[in-house]
Amino acid sequence: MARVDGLISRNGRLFAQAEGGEVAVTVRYLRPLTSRTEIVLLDDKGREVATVMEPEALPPEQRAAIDAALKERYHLVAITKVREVDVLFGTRYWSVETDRGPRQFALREPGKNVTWLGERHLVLRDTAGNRYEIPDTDKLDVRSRRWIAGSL
Amino acid sequence: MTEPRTVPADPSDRIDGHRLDGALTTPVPAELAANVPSSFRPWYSITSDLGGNGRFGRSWIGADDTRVLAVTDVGRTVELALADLADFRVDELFGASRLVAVGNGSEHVLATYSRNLVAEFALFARILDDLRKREAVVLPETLERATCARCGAPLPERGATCPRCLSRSSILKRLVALLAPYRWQVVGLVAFAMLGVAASMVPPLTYKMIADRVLEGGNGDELGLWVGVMLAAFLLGAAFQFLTSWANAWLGSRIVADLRALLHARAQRLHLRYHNRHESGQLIGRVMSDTSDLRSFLIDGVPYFLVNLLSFVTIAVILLVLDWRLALLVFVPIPVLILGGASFWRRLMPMFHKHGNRRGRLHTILGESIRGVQTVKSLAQERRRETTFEGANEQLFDVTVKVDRTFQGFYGTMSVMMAIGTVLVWYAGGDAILRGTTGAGLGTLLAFVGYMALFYGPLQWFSAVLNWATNALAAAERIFAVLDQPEEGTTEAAPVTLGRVRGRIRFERVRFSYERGREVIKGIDLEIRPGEMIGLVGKSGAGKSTIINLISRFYDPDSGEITVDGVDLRTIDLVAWRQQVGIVMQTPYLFDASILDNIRYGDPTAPFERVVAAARAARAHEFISAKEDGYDTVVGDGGSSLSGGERQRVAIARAILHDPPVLILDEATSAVDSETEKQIQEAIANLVRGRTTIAIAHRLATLRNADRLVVIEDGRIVEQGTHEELLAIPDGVFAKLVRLQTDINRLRAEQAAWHE
Repeated sequence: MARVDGLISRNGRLFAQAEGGEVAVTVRYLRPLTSRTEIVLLDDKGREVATVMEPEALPPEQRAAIDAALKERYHLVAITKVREVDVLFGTRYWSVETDRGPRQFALREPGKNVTWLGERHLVLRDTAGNRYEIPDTDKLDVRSRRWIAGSL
Repeated sequence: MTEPRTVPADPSDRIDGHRLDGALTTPVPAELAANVPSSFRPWYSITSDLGGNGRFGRSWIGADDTRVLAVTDVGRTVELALADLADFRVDELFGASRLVAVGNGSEHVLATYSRNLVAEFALFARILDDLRKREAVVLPETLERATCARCGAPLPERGATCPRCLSRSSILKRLVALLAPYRWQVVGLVAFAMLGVAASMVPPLTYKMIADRVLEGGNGDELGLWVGVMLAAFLLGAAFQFLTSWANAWLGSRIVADLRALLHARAQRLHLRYHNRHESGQLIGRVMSDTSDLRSFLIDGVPYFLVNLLSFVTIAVILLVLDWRLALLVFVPIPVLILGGASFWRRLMPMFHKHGNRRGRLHTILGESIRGVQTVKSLAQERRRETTFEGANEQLFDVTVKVDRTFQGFYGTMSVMMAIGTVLVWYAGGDAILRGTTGAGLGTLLAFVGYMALFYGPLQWFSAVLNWATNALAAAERIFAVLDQPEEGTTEAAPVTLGRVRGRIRFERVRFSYERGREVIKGIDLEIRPGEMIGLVGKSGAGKSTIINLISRFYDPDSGEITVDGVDLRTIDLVAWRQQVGIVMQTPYLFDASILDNIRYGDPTAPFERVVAAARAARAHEFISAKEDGYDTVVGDGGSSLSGGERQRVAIARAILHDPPVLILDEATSAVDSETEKQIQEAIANLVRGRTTIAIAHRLATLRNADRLVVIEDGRIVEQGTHEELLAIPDGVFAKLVRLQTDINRLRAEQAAWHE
């Protein structure tokens, strides 16, 4: 694994400078659901350019470039409030507030489309394939918690 | 599929987009209108569900024949001349996707959107590219949307009908329509139910008669008469109840059997696209469990509801006629019983869901423990499995106790409410008789008590039956959703029936995607001569199997055309075409029947001599004969009692007997040892003679007999020619593949030598 000497953002793309050359990369979390810390840089053919276990140790300008790229790539939606869960013909229609604004989605087969990552941490996948995270059910208001308990 | 039209033409062309629910001609959202010049008249346009800052909001892209304009709700505007652009690309992000315009050395994000819109944006990207290249824009027939085009609500699955826009009464109407062929049975059933109710109304009246006329009135000689009437009413009631159930058992089962047959027939004719998108278990569930849910409701729920509603109304009328003041007292607990029942069910339903989920989870854990027992043991994790199981087991225990206790509590409350009604009637009735304030006597009081038992009992269950009805309607809706799926087949009104084809197959500008948005075949032109053997070569995922699926017409191209002997495949009668195509798959499917029946599956009347000849040509005759039961050997579920090589040769014999002019070999020799492979090779050599053959093989050596090799890479043909011609291309894709495989083979040989 080549050492990365620098990272720059140019024309909307991230480039890694290594061994005198420059390669366009995309940045990914290694554990996007359970721990958004460690990252990997992949080139356009999906080959590893670098794996960074402690991105916070990188120089500030590189970290800024990586953070910007991560923000662009990861469209994580966290549910902040459950307004209503309506069941109709076996499909649950969720009406929620998220950190990215209000949203409605349909959930089917909770056994398959609800992933519990911890006691109070879960991810829902709607019928279109979008995912919604609830990082900590205890941090939601009572009504939201009741909707979740009643329908999951 | 529409005919390709050339751009630019009259801008009113974009009217075309309205066919796809207007998804590709969306107007500029009001909040963004200020950023779009009023002179801009896009031909195609699309609205995203994400705004410029990644929040749920709206962005809009429009394009005419010279430029593309993208605006977002944060005021960012991108305007690009199509002539300056090189490509349009879709980037799959985590939880979203984005459409990017690629210029010379620069990239511009046009919009980011959620998974809801992947199909729409993939098509839009293609349209933009067609506009850029000034090529014909071809729109598909339909777009499988994730949200309802009418109400905007998310759909239960892509392309499904919106349950919110679907009325329950329309489902009921369809269920009733299923009854139409059995209308006389229905009339009989309703008549039995009504007579049964009428009979059950009589006994309390006889109480009154006995009390008033015999005991109080002193007409001792009438006792026998009234007791006789009572007995007759009981017997008749029982008889009609039996007849109702008897008729209903037949009718309910009949409808469900009809539905199962309809579902099975539809499942056979459903497009493979449907089967690919749904797990087989789901479809089997529809056929078996949904129909049985519906059956139990039709057999038990509907008569229960009907009979009880009828007796409820009748008793209410009788009570009012007997003594309206006492009747009002009887009615006192009714609202409590109904509301109590409803609130009980509201509480119980989530508990039931929870119970079902927890039981399912325990089931999964148990299954994993047993199937994975060797892995668990080898990693010494028995203790952890036990803890996991115990946890889930306790959770199931908790919810089971809760459900049972809630039930018991409900029963208790309801009996108390009914007892209160009875007590009220006895008290008020007795008091009235003692004081003589009412005309009612002891007889009326006894009749009242008799009716009350019939009256209260069913009330508490009305809401349960309504719940039951909702679930049965959901099952019916799921069944109808399958029945409403389009069948595969021709789009033409009168399909062309060909005689035996010569086997000239032509691909013209064929494009195809399984999932809208991910093109797998990206424009293929290919001509296969009659009797020619073509080998398709390429890495896995290159699109080889897809080409075979298209020739078999399991799918139709998104655009372009496939012709057979000059006739468009889409216009040919599907059954007639499939009879002319023989397919030998990598993992052939054998039915749980004898080898004989499997070989002649395509022609059950084929004489035994022909079966043996086919088996002999397939190098299968010997191993079949050596089996204890010979050709009568039953192969087991999926052919499980045969080895892989044996299954393959039975499948080849099946194809030889089928005698198709066009033959498809899909990795027919993978996963067998080299001796078996040799036999299969010989069998195949017999099979391909005189047929147009399209073969895919993982081992390139097995394609040596092919007249021509076609190298596929990323959905396109990159090289074609004979084995030698392709090897001669320096740095050719095929040459590289051969080198790679030779290396692997050498490595394998070395490993084998080591083991020896």
